[in-house]
Amino acid sequence: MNRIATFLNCLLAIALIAAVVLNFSNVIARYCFGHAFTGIEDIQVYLMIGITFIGTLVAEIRQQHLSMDVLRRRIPGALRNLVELGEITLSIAVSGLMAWLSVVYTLNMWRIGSHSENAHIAIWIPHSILVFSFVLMMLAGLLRLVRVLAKRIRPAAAPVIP
Amino acid sequence: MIGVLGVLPIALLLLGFPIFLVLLSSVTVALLFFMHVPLSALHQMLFGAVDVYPLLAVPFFIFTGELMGRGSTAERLVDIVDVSIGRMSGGLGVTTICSSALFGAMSGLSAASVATIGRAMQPALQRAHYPPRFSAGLLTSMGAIDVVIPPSIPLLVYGTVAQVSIPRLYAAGIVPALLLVILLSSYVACYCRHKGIGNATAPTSRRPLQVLSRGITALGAPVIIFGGIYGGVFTPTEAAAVACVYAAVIALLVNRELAWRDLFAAAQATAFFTSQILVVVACSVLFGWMLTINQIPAALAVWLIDLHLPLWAMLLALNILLLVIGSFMEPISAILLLTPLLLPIVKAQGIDPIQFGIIFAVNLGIGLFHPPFGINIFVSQSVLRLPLGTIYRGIIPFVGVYLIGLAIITYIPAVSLAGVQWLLR
Repeated sequence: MNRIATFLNCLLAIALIAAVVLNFSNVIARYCFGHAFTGIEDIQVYLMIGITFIGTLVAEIRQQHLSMDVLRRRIPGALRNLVELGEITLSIAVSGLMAWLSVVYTLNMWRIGSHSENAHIAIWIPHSILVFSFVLMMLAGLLRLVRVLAKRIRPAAAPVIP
Repeated sequence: MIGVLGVLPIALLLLGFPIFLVLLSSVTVALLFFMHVPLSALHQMLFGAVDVYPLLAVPFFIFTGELMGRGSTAERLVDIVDVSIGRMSGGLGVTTICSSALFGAMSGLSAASVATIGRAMQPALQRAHYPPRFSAGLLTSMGAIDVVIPPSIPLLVYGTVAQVSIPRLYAAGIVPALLLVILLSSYVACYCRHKGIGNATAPTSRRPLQVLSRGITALGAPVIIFGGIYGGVFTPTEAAAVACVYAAVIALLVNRELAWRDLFAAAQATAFFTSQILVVVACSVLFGWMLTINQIPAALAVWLIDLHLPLWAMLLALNILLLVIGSFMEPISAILLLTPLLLPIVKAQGIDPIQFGIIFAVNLGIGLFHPPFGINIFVSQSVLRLPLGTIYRGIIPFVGVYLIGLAIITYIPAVSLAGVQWLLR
């Protein structure tokens, strides 16, 4: 999973550099040549949407979301495990629902065949980023749940007799 | 409904659930069980919240800060400020404050400023025999100015959520930031004169020119950002992109202190940090929409107005609330969660949303180094290897100085609005 996260993070870095280059090129084109490419703004915003939601997937895999964990660190061990299980379950449920809603919405966009105003990109393409992210977030959550439960169920090792 | 949109999110937040999950699950539960709105609104709102061109400035400014922080920009800035004001009493301490403010004017990130300028200044402060407790307080608290100084990321996020013009907000932040710099510098200078410490040696006549020629490139980014935005050349997003390219060219080609690999590493860190912030932005827009269609902010505003509190008492109550929340929560998350709730109340009281944005930012800036959980305390502890006890004791007088600044900014609206009037007439 960590390799997937690292690979996705590399893609996001490329997307970010591309957005900077596109924006800078547009500034140069407008001020030096008196011509701006209107579609570039759409592309940059879609890159940012990709960075946001695929980055959230990376944060889910690495367990590095923004949170207020000050009090959680002070909860006793058994209760903290229970809270962790609750968090994973809620994450799976919410990402599952969001994945379903995103699939339905993206399919509708694909059927309608609508395009963005300036860059004329098929709208289902940027919307499918949410499908990708939420489906994989749900799977990452399931994997984490299995790992946590397996750690609990696994019997304690037999004591070593000296 | 109050339970779902009030008690549930607070409980989940306190339990340490990811902030985006707290907001998204609360809205989902409200939609599923209490309202007759199609669930597809969740997808539409989430997508639409990030489908906003001005938000691109967030990753671009963070990228600029990352690039500047990885090179020797901090040292170059410190040298320039030191040559200009280093000879005065407590000059090294004042140099620390001014360098941090200048670094904030490039990156907009408080923790980055504490880590980068702190690393550059800490050995010099030790050599000049500044007391460890005083140095710890100074290095931990100086980053709070960066929350107010443009191009502050928290102000950018506030402007997006509150639908306030970003250039106006940035213009409003300049005078309060200068006020805080002056107050802190005065305190440091008085302390050093009283204790007889930290008098720097006078620079040689050649040194200023050497330092200026070495560090002139470091001053380019703020010139691009401020000159570009207020000269009417760039939008804030374009200024951020141009500053990114400038920072990359300076670090890669002019100073030759970063390799292409470092540029890519900076882009990776920026993309990850951006996603952490923007997903909370998206979910808080969703949460704000849910609060609005249930008329919760309006009801809260009516309730507070019915209390007939005088304006000063209302502002005092808001400041206390924000200080408490700021010491537990990271500024961007706090802005995203509280702006939809507090803004209608503030507007109903006749307070300018721009002034409120500055008050909000200063409070959350203080929260960044305020005990017990200010983030910059832990940045100082981990990056600068300062003991926690020394930091806690050291920051107490600096909290006092910032509170004086906060009182002036809160009760004299002209401090926040002067910059807007001067720059955007």
